Amino acid sequence: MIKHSLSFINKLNSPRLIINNYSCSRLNNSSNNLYNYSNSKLYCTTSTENNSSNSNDHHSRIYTKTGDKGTSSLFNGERRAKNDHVFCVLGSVDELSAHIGVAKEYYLNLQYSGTNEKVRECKDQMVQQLEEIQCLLLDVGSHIATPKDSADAFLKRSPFADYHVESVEHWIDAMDVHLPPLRNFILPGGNLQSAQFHVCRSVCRRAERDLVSLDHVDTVNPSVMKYVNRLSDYFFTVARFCVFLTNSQEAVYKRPKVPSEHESKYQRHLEKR
Amino acid sequence: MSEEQETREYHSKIYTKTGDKGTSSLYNGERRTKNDAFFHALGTIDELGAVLGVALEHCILDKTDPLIEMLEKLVALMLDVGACVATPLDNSKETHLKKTRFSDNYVKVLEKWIDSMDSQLPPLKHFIIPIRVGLASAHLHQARAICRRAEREMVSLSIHELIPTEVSVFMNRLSDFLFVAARFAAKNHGADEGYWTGCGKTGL
Repeated sequence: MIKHSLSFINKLNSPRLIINNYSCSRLNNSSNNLYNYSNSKLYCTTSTENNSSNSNDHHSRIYTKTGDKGTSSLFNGERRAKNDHVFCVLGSVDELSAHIGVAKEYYLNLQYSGTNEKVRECKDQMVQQLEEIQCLLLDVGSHIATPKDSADAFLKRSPFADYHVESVEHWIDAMDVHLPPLRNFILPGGNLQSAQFHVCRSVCRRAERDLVSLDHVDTVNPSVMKYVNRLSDYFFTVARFCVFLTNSQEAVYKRPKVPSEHESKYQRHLEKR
Repeated sequence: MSEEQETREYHSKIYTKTGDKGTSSLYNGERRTKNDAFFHALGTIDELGAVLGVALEHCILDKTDPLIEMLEKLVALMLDVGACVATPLDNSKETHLKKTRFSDNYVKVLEKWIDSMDSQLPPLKHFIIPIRVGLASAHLHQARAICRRAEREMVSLSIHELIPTEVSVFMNRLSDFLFVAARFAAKNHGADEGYWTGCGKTGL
């Protein structure tokens, strides 16, 4: 009777559903009771309850306090300590989405003064791509939050298509053709937008490392793993593309010079003056 | 004062070099390796303070009252949270514990702030996504994610009863606050938040 699936999103019209990121829900269809699991950020009232709601009702919808003792729950309702590795992975994925949000705000201010139509097309499509990625990261989260025992049933209902991986590859290729070939290690920077996307790339790698050390990693959809791996390549390309759009110079790695003993003495002498 | 003494004194202000071998000390003076769970938690609390500082600057640019005042207090409170976490319950002197005690009043303050902002926001119907929300909101979402990381790292300490409950509860409520603050800043920015409609589709 009680089933857990993401289809609760479609049932939003009847119950009033309050959700924060990484909350998942179980709905008992017959009574519209909502089983709150995950980080205590889910709250639901039916419309009749809503009418008779008192002032506490309003308050409890954001902070349910169920996580105050350091536990949170998974997609199947199982409660675990918040320092459980699965929440570490979910948190990293969430953090990545937040960083993408920041990077995109900066990206919206980026101007391209060139005339190449293909480049302009790439530039214009990027905001949409980033939004799609942010949405898919929620799907990635729901896959990660589904441990072994409930994986089979869930995967059937909520597939993560290889198609998404291919899309990212096409996006990378479309940008990469315009970029100068890589001959050196690139340094983060060049412009603010590029720097932010390098942050995304490094946070994405952390999420991937966290994901790989997950206990039930072998039951995670391979497309999800591929997707996360491909994303860091995407952010690397986007970071370079941002530098290209503003016609700025890419900073490359040069071996920093170690001053000789004589030189450093001279340097100190100069600083003192 | 000789030249050498002068140099040494100047240098010691910022770099003491005592951590060069990978250890650092807690508030009670106990030295631990820098990869200890305590320093993970303290580092993330520090990181959260830094991001809150960035968010605050953007709120100032956007003139987002009353968030400016709240964030100013929270940036300072991160030091109190850090001080409290840096004083393990099991082996610190009573004087140290007394000095760094974290009041549970702050949780109530957060709840009041959450309620006052939340009452001005439209009800949530979807998973929201920080897109086209303005830099202040985007950074507050980032702060929320980092706050959750700090909370997770603090759980590794609280399950062994090494840090007081008040500070853990505070961090749990702080992520709720940052979520509401991010929505509030977006509204102030005049932006409609994006939401998730499943399988990579966005609604705006």
